[in-house]
Amino acid sequence: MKTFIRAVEVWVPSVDRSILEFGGGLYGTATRFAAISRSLCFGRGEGLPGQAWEQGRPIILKQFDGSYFKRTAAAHAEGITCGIAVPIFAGDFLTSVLVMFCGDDEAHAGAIELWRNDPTVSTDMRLVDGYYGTTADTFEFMSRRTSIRRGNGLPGMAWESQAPVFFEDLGKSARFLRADSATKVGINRGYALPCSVQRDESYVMTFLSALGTPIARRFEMWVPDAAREKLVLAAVSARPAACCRPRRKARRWSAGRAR
Amino acid sequence: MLQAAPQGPALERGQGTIGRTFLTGVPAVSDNAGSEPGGFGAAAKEAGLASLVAVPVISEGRLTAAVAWYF
Repeated sequence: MKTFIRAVEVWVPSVDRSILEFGGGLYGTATRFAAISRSLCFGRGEGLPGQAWEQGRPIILKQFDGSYFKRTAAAHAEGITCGIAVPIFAGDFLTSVLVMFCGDDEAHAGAIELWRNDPTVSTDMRLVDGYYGTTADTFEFMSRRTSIRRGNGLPGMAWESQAPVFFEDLGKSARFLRADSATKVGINRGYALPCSVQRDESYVMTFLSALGTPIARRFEMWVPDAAREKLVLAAVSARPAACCRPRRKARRWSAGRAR
Repeated sequence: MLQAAPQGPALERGQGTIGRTFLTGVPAVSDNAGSEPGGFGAAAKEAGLASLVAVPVISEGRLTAAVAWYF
């Protein structure tokens, strides 16, 4: 099964915080791209990870040619056409930059979107940009014309709660405002992650996928317990055909209960 | 919308890839999901899941959740 995300990598500040160093990655079959990536580092403002660091907000880069992206030839050789960089801040402190890569395969229905609220401009959240694969023109058109109130819709709920939000069946959800457009292009599942940024704006990434090309093969959401000593499994999204994994199934994942 | 199941399985700080993200606040990857500690690795292997990335969700300087994507 192909997934919408083709590769993921993590960049972490060096000890003196002057550059971002490679902190791990999953590249699937993109072995040449992986080898090049592992040998790189990025200064502030350099390449996609460095730009995310410099701008202090997530970036969706859909055109590598002529851009600041440093690995264009290797990416294109692997069919990688879009990069999404998400800086992760703990307060003002950059802990890392997460970069995801998507490809240009046919029938890659799905979307990764970036939503923003600038409180000096509006009380709503508007789309900054999105990667819509190859089949989601209708959905993209609708998304670019949608304003989302805090607490409404997938991005608005993540914005309000400052926690991940999952929808297992977008077409049947009255709380997903773009359900009709999503259903038309095969998008049926989505989740949203609030992003930590260094400014007074709010950002949310949404990940929307179709049955044939899920964002990933399985999602899990873990939350700290009351004492903040442990992480507790709070939600699971399993196989694309499944609605959601029942709790008794999730218990099979208990630590110490090897099967 | 998926309902929360807060009484589900638990991970200690630093335990496995997801626990490491809880400890450090930094995303962590593993290209061998089958080697995760406890029953998690065996279950991942049984499900045919090869790798995972764990991503922290941080709000006002505190980790509010960790999301794991399996591939």
